[in-house]
Amino acid sequence: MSMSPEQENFESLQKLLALKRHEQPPPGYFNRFSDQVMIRIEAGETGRTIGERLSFDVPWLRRFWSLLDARPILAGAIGAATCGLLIAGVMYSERADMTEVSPLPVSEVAKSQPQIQLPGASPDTAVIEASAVESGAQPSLFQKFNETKKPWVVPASLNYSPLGTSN
Amino acid sequence: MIMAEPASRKASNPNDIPGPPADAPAQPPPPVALPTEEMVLVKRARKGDLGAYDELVKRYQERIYATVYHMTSNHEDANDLAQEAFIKAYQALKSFKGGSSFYTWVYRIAVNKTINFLKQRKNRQQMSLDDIDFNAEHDPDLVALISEKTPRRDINLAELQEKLNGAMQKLSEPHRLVVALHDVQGMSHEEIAEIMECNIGTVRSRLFYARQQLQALLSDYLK
Repeated sequence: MSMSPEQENFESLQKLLALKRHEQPPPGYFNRFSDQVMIRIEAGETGRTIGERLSFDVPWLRRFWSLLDARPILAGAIGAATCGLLIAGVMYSERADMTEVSPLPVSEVAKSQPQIQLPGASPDTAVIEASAVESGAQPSLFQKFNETKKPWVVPASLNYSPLGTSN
Repeated sequence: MIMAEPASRKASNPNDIPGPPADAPAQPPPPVALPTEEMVLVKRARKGDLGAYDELVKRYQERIYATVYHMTSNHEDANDLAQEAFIKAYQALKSFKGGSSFYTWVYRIAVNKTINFLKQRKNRQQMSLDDIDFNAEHDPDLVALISEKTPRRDINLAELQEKLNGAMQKLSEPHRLVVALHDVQGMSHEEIAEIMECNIGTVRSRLFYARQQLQALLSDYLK
């Protein structure tokens, strides 16, 4: 039975393609191959980016990425919307900060600046206390300490005696 | 050493003629029973037994590497892609339902990974070919092809290998894959259809057109 020229030609081609079966990686390559795979698995190294890992592990995210991949206009629109939201968020937060800080008159600012005073020797604290009362704010711990004006007392349990006074 | 070939090679007809058109009714591939030993290994690997997975890798590493290599014509790329395919398969083992054999499933992962890679590197094709083994010089078919049928008798095996790989790289990825799996690795149409998730008619038609293209590209070396 004779073959058609086409079949015969394919036969020659297949013989030529058989050459590819003789192409071999370097000797010993397959002895190391599985070890390398195991090392990479144990090291948790996948050769993928974080984005790829996420998209592989989370199916809906994978679908979302493929949707964006297929429709660049949609991806652009989502990107623009995200940027807009980010800018609006930054602007809104800056505006909110501005309204929360109530501006003080210059004289009040000057009065309130020197606040480090020794206990018991602070005639200006009255100004601070007065401003605190006016603004309805809670008195600070410093103010409470000034109100009590109690001297520092070393507890007896510490058995402290100044230098040169002990027997 | 000749690369391991699946047993199905013996069953497949080497002189395939073009089959039915691509839109022929799809024939679902026959259900593949998972060999018990392989199933046990897969179950153990799924529980985190790396020894079992190592065994699975050793079973299929040559075939997976060969497929990726014939697709890329580049040893370094094939090495990376084959390793990554096995790593990805390990990470996705929980999603493996056992509807196909583990081997087909890993093949699918490797093939998809390779096609994605080839799409990305489209403009920077660089061949890094494996050496031809000693047996090639004694292959009667190849000897006959070079000494008798080739008009350029001065061509040597290395040159022929380069021309052949160059022609392979000119095929589209699906066509190249069908040639690599069938004509080089000797898989049956059914196995290829299962891996490529298409019907057998599509496989036959792709094979026919791929061979026609190769024949045109390699005409100097075939007559």
